Amino acid sequence: MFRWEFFLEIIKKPDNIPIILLIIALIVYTWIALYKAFDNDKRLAEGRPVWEAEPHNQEKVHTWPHLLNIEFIAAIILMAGLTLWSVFLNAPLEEPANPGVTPNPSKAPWYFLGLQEMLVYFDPWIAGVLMPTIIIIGLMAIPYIDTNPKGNGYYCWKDRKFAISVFMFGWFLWMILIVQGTILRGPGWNFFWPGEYWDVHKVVPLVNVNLYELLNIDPKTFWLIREMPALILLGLYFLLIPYIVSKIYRKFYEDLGFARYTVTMILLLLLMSLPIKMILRWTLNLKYILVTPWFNI
Amino acid sequence: MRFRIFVVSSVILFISALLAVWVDFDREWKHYQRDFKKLEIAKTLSEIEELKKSFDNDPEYKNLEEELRKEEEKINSKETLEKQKNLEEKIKKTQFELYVAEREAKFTKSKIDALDYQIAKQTNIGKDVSSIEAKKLELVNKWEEQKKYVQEVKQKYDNLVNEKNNIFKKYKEIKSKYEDKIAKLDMLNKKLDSIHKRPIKVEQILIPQLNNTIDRCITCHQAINKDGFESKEYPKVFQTHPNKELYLVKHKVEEFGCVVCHQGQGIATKTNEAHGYVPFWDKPMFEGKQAEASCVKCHKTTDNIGADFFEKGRELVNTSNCFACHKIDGMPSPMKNGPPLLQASSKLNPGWLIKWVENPRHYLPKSKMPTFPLSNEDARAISTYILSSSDPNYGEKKNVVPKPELASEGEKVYQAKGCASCHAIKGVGANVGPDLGRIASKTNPTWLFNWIKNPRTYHPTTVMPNLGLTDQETLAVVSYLQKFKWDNPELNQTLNLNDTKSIEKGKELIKAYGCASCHNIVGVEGAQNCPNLTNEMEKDIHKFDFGYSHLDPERGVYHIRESYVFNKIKNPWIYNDFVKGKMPNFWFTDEQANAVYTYIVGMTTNNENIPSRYIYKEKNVEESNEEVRK
Amino acid sequence: MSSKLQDFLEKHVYPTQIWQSIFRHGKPINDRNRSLAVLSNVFLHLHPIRLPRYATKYTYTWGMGGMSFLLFLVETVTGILLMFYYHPTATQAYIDIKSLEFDVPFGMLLRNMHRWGAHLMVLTVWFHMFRVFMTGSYKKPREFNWAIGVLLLTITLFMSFTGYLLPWDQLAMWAITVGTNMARAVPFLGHEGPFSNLLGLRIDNDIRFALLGGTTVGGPTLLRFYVLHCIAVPFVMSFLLAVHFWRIRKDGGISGPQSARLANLNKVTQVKAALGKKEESTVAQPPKTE
Repeated sequence: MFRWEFFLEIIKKPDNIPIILLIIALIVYTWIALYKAFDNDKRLAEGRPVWEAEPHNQEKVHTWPHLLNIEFIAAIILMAGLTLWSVFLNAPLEEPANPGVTPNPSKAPWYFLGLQEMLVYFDPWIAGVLMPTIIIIGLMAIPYIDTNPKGNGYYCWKDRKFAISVFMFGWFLWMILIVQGTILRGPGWNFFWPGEYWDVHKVVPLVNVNLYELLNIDPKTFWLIREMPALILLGLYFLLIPYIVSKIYRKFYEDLGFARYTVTMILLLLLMSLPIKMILRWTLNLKYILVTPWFNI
Repeated sequence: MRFRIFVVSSVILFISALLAVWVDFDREWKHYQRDFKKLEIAKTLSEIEELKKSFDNDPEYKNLEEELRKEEEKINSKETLEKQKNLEEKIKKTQFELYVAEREAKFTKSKIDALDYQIAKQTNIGKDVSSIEAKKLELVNKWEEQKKYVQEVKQKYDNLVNEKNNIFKKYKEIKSKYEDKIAKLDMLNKKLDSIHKRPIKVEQILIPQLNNTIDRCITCHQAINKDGFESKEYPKVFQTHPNKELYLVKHKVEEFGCVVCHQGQGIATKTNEAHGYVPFWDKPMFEGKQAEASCVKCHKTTDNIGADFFEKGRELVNTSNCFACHKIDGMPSPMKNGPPLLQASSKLNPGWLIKWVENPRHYLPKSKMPTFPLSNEDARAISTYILSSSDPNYGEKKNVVPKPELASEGEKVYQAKGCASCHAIKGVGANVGPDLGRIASKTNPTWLFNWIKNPRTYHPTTVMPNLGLTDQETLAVVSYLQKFKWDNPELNQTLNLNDTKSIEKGKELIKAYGCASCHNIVGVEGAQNCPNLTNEMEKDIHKFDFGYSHLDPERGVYHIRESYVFNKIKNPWIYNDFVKGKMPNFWFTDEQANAVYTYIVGMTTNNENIPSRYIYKEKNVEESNEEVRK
Repeated sequence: MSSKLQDFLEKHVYPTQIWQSIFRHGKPINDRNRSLAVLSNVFLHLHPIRLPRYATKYTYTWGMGGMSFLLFLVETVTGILLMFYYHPTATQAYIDIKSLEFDVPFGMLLRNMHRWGAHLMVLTVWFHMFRVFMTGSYKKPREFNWAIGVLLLTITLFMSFTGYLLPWDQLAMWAITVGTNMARAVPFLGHEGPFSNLLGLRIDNDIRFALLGGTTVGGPTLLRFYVLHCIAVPFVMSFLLAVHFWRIRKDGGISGPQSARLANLNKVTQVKAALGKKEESTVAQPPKTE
């Protein structure tokens, strides 16, 4: 039962306006990028130069006025937009800080909601520390592991299918988690459909189980033995998959070399671990795969 | 194309910058200050006008004006002017003489001082000082002469000045009389001038010792502490504070400010941010008499301090017996104020009881018993329990049969014994006891007979007195009352008093709704299962179940404690979206609900943050009482 | 402009020593003077004098980097002005923010611009990264500048995060509480993280304690975040921005198919690939690892 007043109540919050901008920008710029990429693919297929390399576009023009005027216009539009936004919408200010009263839901700033969402599926040290670190390092590593010389400095898709699809996957995953965290996560970080009332009293069944419980292993068993299936599963995930992939896509492996291939696969498998864990949670109510005395995965 | 975009976007930027400046410049409070300025100027001008008119009809003023004119003519005559001129010249000359004489004397004195120093110095080293002494003596003589001369010149000067003043003596006298006469006009003119010059600016009361209060209410409420704006004809924002002497003088406004009583966002300079329910502002403004909720912040008791509205709330809370269910720490639990139901089955008609439990107002529009949210089925279960559990054998006399022929005699007794001074019939009459206009459908004649004979045997604490009627008179009254029936087909409902399931359900409901808090009921103890209201106003907002009332504009509820409490008092079932509330409806009017709200909010707010110097001390009461005695 | 004024300027203003000392070139009415204008201006000379036409098209660049920098400037200016009205203490901070709305001239505008600008900047930085990825502009020789860019993105988020606490309201305090709770779980360094017992960490000596200046978000946290937000992080950010801009020029200006020439690659195949010589592009070989 969708009700507008509940939906608008959340959308109307001034701090959620950037989310709306984000969704619009995501649609517009993804469309532009892909449109230009497919256009260039077509040009290459027909043996024509890409749009950026057309003689007309390659022609050198003077910075003054050709670049400066568009920069100036962009600056003006941006400032006008920001001024109008600031005139008509006031930044929120809630009650004075009070350590004694915890608002429900208490949410991180919107750009960190992806991380907060990960907390549902992973322990804090993975969701809050390991994953952000991996994201930053992984992003910085992109130029060093993507050695494909094609597609440098122009939009394209066919020449960089793998790189673009992996990046877009991570990019959209991040964005979707943010939108979900803003609009669909209510009190107690419970899931609410759009237009559903954010009921503080909502109780969801807590029926998540660990992998060994799924397999009916006695929790009292020595952990190393108890976690054998988990260790095997993780071993298969992080070792066997890269091995098999390297055999199937032999050229891909050879192009990258061992070191690059290893780093690429680790990053890729870590990236995939989030959706995999999400799906396992939804379907099998899986809490942890591996439970050790020190940490859980 | 780019140029076009450039032009359009530049224009937009320019307009948005202008807009930003305008929005910042054109602040709401400035309008209020300008409006008040206009109002005050108009008021002062009309006062001036009035005063001038009163002078026109004042012979004394006319006389003075005439005399003054004559004197002015006199002193402006050629003769007088000549005389004055001569005198002034002489004065000038003498003044110079005096100056020279005084200077010479001063110099001589200075020389003497210098010689004194020489004498002291030479004596110290043992030299002879006789020659210097001689010189000094000479100078001292000279100085004495000079002083005498100064006196002479001074005398001469004073005489001249006096002579000059005498010329104007009479004129000055009259002039000062005239000025006294027009002093008020003068004052008004000065006031007008100061109003014109008063700058438009944020005005505030800062009270660091009282929780760092910053009160900007007076920025718009400019007349709040000014006399002369009491009239309700002025716009509300520009009226003087009602009972200013008590609220702003006795409680010095510079020491108390506004928000300590009225709450609200004192720092705000926008109407919507200061008044009413402001998002995220914890303490909404108390409007008008609601502010009496704050009296108890400093006054331990509200006796004799004129908090009438608060007292009215207390009265309503007591008559409604709120504390029978709710508790406030430190407040005594009240008595059960409903009639006991231990023998209800000897009294009540089952059909009537069901209707009554469902909603007492159907039978008795002014019923003290509130309406519980019960369905017909619930009401039947409760009635079944009450009737099956209670004693059906009340009263000494059994099987009373009313005699219609005695009805007219009964009416006479009814009037003679003063029944009407407590009971109304069909809305006509006093309202101490219940309206008897439909009594015959409620009780049976036997119970009525026994009750009238001696009410305390049924209800030990009832206010109804034993009127000492004879059996004959009692029967007559009972017969008279039989004609007052309630014409309602639903009264024919019957109950199966042996239905154990229904009895069990009835007992549960009686426990759940706390019926035994007000009534004595067989087998059920009074249960206080309602929220404890101590510190209700400090409770976390998330602990209030608003349902989704605050998202439904029609219900007029805001997501704030005060709004919750007010609306709960007004209509306890307004939040029934998720959990069905058990609290009964007292059908308060807005005014009544407001009074109850004022009382409850006052009693349940934590006031520990008020500095001790603001707490009202009993000692002061005695002092002021003594003053009164003197 | 009226010709009289023009004449006046020509005669009495342009030839003066003051004018000549400020503007080292003639009026930008021809390409030479325009080039000089770009060259001799410290702000404009971030740009090359000439550039390929596609680099001036919005559909190629999206202008996100430039907008991010402009927003950085907006944040700096509004931030400095806001600092005049703000005390980073638990008792005063909230009242200061209230005062911005109610009595400071342009206070609300400043605060709104600062806050919305910050949100917008996060978006522009993210979409800048998106564009750079989609055009493959991180590739040789711009690998390092991409890494700097990733750092700048992280710092932008951290700037926004530290600023989030400063209004000192419930929203701020609990967002930061939730955000910094992650620091509890840092392996080895947070008291709730794995292996924290190896270093003997408790709630009052772990990394979160160092960040907050206490075991909960409180007065010391406010001061810490204020200093980070206003001094420390902007300093690092300016430094990295300088490197980022400098490297854009040094790495061959704006990316594009032609600049592959600068990359130390198999020039012929690279350029031909970009220019659409299909049959040759398929034989393009990646460089052997050194």
